[in-house]
Amino acid sequence: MGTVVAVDDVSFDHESKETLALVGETGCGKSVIASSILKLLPDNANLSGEILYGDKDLLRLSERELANIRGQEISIIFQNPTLALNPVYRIGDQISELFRVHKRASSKESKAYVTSLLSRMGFKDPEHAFHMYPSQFSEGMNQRVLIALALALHPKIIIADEPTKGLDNQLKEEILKELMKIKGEKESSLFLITHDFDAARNIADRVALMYCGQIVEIALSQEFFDEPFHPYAWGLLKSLPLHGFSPIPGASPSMISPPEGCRFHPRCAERLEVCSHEIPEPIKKSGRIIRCFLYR
Amino acid sequence: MRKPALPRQNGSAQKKSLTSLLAVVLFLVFFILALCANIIAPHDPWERFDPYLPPSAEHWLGTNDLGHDILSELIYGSRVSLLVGLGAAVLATAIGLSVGLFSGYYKGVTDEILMGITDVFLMIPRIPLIILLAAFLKPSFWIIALVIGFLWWTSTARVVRSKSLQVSEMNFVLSSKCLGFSDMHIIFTDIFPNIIQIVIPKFMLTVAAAMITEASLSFLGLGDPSMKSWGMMINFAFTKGGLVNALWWWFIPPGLCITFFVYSVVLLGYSHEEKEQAALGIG
Repeated sequence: MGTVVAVDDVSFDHESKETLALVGETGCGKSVIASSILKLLPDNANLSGEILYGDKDLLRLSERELANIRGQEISIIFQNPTLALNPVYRIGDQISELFRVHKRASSKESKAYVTSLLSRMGFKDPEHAFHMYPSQFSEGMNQRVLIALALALHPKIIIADEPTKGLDNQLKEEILKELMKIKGEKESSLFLITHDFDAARNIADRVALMYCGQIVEIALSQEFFDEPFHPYAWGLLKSLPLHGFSPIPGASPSMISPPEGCRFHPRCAERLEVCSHEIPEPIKKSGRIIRCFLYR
Repeated sequence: MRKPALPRQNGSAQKKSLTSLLAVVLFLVFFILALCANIIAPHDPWERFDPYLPPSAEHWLGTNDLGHDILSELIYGSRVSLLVGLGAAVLATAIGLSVGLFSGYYKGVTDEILMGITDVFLMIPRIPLIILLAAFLKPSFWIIALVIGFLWWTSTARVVRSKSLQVSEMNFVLSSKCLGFSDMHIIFTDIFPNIIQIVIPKFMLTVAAAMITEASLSFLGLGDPSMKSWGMMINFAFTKGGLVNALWWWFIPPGLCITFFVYSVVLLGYSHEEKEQAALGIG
């Protein structure tokens, strides 16, 4: 069996109160980064390096210490919301369980809290939503429940893995607005994983662009969308409907045997001689981090 | 929200619901009989009348060799038989459930060890072991229930393990983990409610198995002589000449009671399963 190097040589900082958007195409390793932050990968996954949260290295914490961090300090919003909710419990019970276990709240207190949370997540009749089962809700409704779950304990960091997947445009905007509002109130930071450029442009402070398991550019959101540095980013922006729909030539490489040298070089219009045999290291260039020989 | 309209029941579905109704009624009759034995029974089962009386208005099922009223014996006997059956099944299900849940959730070494122990228990010839134990220990129905409970958990453990392996890979378990719940919390509040539907029929079948085992043991004379279960009654009828003299009112009723109770329990288990399957749209 082959080994997939899903994420390779990735390094980034996440400031407190900041919104960092990780963008990249499907299968480039975005979700793997999210799962490895909270050590949620299956047992056969190998993790090396360090993930510093304050002065703690999350990779070296015990399962018990991690349990205290998960949900209360760092929480995650998953894709596939319907699968992420337990089918045999009512929505309200699943959320209030959090307060009862972590905050030792009485069932009455937690119910009041949950209904207010649900109404903030756009449920017009939270009392009614409280008594529903996940199977009685649409995907979009469950997604909002999941966001409510992740925000319930006011974590310092919210990791959102495609939180607006499956929602229509209007709801998407509302949810993102609500997410940002709660984030602002509680002074948490948001790590948004998305392939939605609009969402990233609208709410992110900084953007990290990923290609084939590596981060190729990190820049302030404004600067990135005005003038991206990496050739992959040029290609991506050109492929947006707004800029003429012209796709990047070639296909995404296999993660089992990625191309030698720069991973983007087979599809890159600006490739140099070195690109095919040497791996570019990330370098700092006018406030950005960029992994490309053009800026050496 | 309005409840979704149920699809019309066809003929076979009606037949199914009729059998499950029959099962419920039978089960309840026996249950009430055991619960209110002292009210329902016409006599004290240890009170002596003339021996070997045939059925009459005074003694509906006659009397035995010691002059005990057989109908009262039968009604009081339901207490012992049900208690052994349910007690053993509760114990067996509790052990099987915990073994299955833990090995399915933790996997790896825990799974290997627990399933190894299960294999060992599967290899034990159960009835001969119980006969041996009952012969050596003082025959008491508590010991019989305990021993049956300790030997009949293996298949429950296997079934629960395979299901909890499946459930523990589902996303909501991961998301519970992300919300900082402990392993115990996840096992008992997330995984357990999702496998309960396979534990209930398993429990019912264990009740049936335990009752039949108890009856066989008692019939072999290894039961508790101070507690007259249905099996013990057949044993007495056998050893005290009831069978030879064809005193059918002595040995047929306890046999029928065992049969009907086991039948009702098994039917209950099946009808639960069928309901689950119907809900899933299979079968």
